[in-house]
Amino acid sequence: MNQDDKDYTVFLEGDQRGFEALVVRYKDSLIYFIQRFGPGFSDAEDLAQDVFVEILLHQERYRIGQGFKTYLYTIAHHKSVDWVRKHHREVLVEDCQEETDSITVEQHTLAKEQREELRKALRQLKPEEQRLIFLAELEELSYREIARVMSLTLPQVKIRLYRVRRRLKEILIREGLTI
Amino acid sequence: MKSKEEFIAGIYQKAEEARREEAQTGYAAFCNNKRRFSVALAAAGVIVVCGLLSFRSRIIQPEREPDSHGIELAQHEPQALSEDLTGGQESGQAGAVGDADSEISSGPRGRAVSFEEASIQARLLRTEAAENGTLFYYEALAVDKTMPVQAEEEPGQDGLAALPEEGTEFSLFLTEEEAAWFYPTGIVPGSIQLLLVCRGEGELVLSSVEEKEETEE
Repeated sequence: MNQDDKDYTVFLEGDQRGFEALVVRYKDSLIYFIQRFGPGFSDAEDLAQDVFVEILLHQERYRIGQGFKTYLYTIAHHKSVDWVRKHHREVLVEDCQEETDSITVEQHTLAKEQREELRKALRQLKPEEQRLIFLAELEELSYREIARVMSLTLPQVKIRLYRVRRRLKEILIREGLTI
Repeated sequence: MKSKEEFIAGIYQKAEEARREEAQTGYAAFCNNKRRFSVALAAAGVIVVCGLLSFRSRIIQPEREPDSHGIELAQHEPQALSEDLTGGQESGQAGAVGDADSEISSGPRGRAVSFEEASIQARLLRTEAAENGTLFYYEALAVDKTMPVQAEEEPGQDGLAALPEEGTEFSLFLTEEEAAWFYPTGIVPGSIQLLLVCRGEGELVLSSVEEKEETEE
């Protein structure tokens, strides 16, 4: 049993500390993911709270072993799509870039300079492409898990990721970036 | 930006509000659901009646013209397309055709796609210099539409690319949208990669159809 499931079990047993541990673990990356749909930082923060509220109110919906991360991002995806529908827009992610600077989800894998270079390159991708890269490279979800989160078929995930990676590579080469 | 504590407190507060709201609107929701159920039942009735009428009109008029998107193509002209591809095979450029058929038939969704459905023939219309190569615009004869194919070669001196040489290979990955556009008769999209070969005089024929495995990079 991984740490997420251990915490969730504690939460199911009635101890809120399990839930809070999950909130603290995923809060920042969840806000970062939601921002890829277009909302500004405070909206994204609100939506992230709504995701956790959903988990809190319907704790029996998640089954241990299913993959908490996948479950969490699936809810976030649905909430964000609702947000986009409500606001009829999917704004450019660079619009809210200043605020996202405080979030460093890439921290664990890349040095500061490299992160900045990667961020520059990511800004040139479409929001949906950014979400795919985020789930695949930073959250390290499997293709199957990404398909579940983004309501896509497995072949669609494979082909889109292949294209996004190719495009990202082209951007990195064109900009002379060295990641 | 909220602190960790504020963020968690906000979650509990929202959850509490949601619970309260749910309790208050429980009866209203019940009534609402009853009304919705009635509306849904009426709508279902209308759909069933429309379906029956449509079914009846189909039986009365079974002979319909093929639509303008060439949907009937695979049923009417599979033989002709097969012959085109057999020609390619004889000149040594479409060797993988037979294999492709068997691969696709056992596609990822278990849907049988015949080779006739996947056959293509196209004619070069024009070329355009693109940022990182050349775009060759082909008119797909089967569906009478143009399809840009990116080739990895540098444009010629005058900015326009030279015609692709015989035997030049192109590969084309199909998205769901492209698959629907190019094969209105239906093909399993997403995982399909088409390998196209230029057969001379700007004519493009299908060399093979492959299922893509895990990511290539």
